[in-house]
Order: sequence, then structure tokens, then C-alpha cells
Amino acid sequence: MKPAPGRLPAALAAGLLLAIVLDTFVQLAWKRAASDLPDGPVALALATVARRPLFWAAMLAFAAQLWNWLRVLARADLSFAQPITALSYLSVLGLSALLLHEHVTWTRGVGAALVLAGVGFITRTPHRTGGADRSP
Amino acid sequence: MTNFAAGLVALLAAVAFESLAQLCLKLAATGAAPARQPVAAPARAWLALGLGAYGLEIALYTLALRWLDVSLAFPLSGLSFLGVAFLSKLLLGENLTGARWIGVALILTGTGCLTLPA
Repeated sequence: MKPAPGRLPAALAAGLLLAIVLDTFVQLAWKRAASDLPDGPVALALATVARRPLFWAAMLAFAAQLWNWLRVLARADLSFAQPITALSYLSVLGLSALLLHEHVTWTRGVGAALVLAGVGFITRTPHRTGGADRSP
Repeated sequence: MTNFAAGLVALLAAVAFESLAQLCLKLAATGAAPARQPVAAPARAWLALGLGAYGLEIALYTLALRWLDVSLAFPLSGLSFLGVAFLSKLLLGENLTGARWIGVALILTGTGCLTLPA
């Protein structure tokens, strides 16, 4: 049966939501772990990052993200699921302002609205091109 | 090369590996060969390739974040949406309708606004 547009299966919706949450955490933790690195060779910078607990917390979340993402991709087109994760821009933007004290301008607010509209268009299309649902 | 330029170069390379990783993970997740699987290979091979591409992306993106704000680097990484859309259409045979292309275009425009300087 052809998937109906605009009707997301609950498992797929939950997977996409979890992907956005994990993506947001990974981005912010990664930024924290990669900040204030010593000047010098690239290898020294990477070795310094690898000694920081927050980097490994980000990697753990990244592993969880990978597991979740494979389940999402088994249920939906790549060109459907991946753009929806753009919603994490909105959460990263907001949390970057709150936690990292980065500046949020009105143009970034407009950008966030456009991203939201784009995701709205994507979710109105069928989530799968065709064939059986291969979800585990 | 300035720190900003070095950050951009690292970020664009990370975007390329992100698009490649997404394609490999889709092929790993679907298990059997999709309609237009570019190269016949078992799911584990696609997963390994995807993880390898992600590993390179992690190294490059970590370097990029050393020089760029996360609120700039993260939206710029949205260029991978365009790469993934083309790869999905060309190599996976996915049905990208007009609405889906419009959605991708809006997201790209939005990420462009997100990267505008203050």
C-alpha cells in the first residue's frame, strides 16, 4: 500500500524526535569539548579533545544516535528523514544562546522560521518511496 | 590561511563525508539491495563504510569547531541536505516530489540566514 502523506507512524515520529534531541546534545557537547584547545599541531589538539570527558559523552550520544538513525532509515526515505533533523538547528540556536552565550540576531530568527517551513513541506510528502517497511 | 578559512575548509570536507556516510547508512539500514544500489554489497560493508566516513567527519568537524562558532558551523553543515537529496534521487531511486525539493530549498535558505553575520 502506498504510504499516506502527512501520516507518520508513531515509531518513526519517535525516532525522528530522539534523533533531534541526540543531535542537539552532540553538537553542544562537541563544541564545549573542542573549545579552548592549545595552539600547536593538529594531533595535539585532537589528543587534548580525546582526554576530555565531555567529548566521550558526545561520542556515547553519537553511538546512540547511530543506532536510532539506522532504525529511522529502515522506516523512511533518506531524503525524507534527513531534512527533518534540521529542526535541531532551532534547538541548537536556542541552547547556544542560553548555555554558550552566543549571539542570536533577527536574521537567525528568520532562518529558523524558514527551516521550520521547509520541514513542514517535507513532512507533507510520503515518508517512503515504496516497498515493504524493513524496520526491525 | 586564516583560522576562519581553515575552519570553513574543514567544515566543507566534513559536509562531503556526512553526505557519503548518510548514503552508506541508508544502504546498511535497508539490508537488501534498493532499486538502484550503486554497488552490490552486504549491509555490514555499507555500515563499515558509513562509520569510516563518519570517523573522518568527526575529526574534520572537531577541527572546524576549534575555529568557528557552533551556531555558524552547525547550520553550514546543512549543505549536506542538498548532497543527500541528489544522492537519494540518483543512486537510491527515491521519489523526490516538488514539495520535498521546496522543503530542502527552504531549509537551505534558512541555514543561509542562520549563517549571516551579526
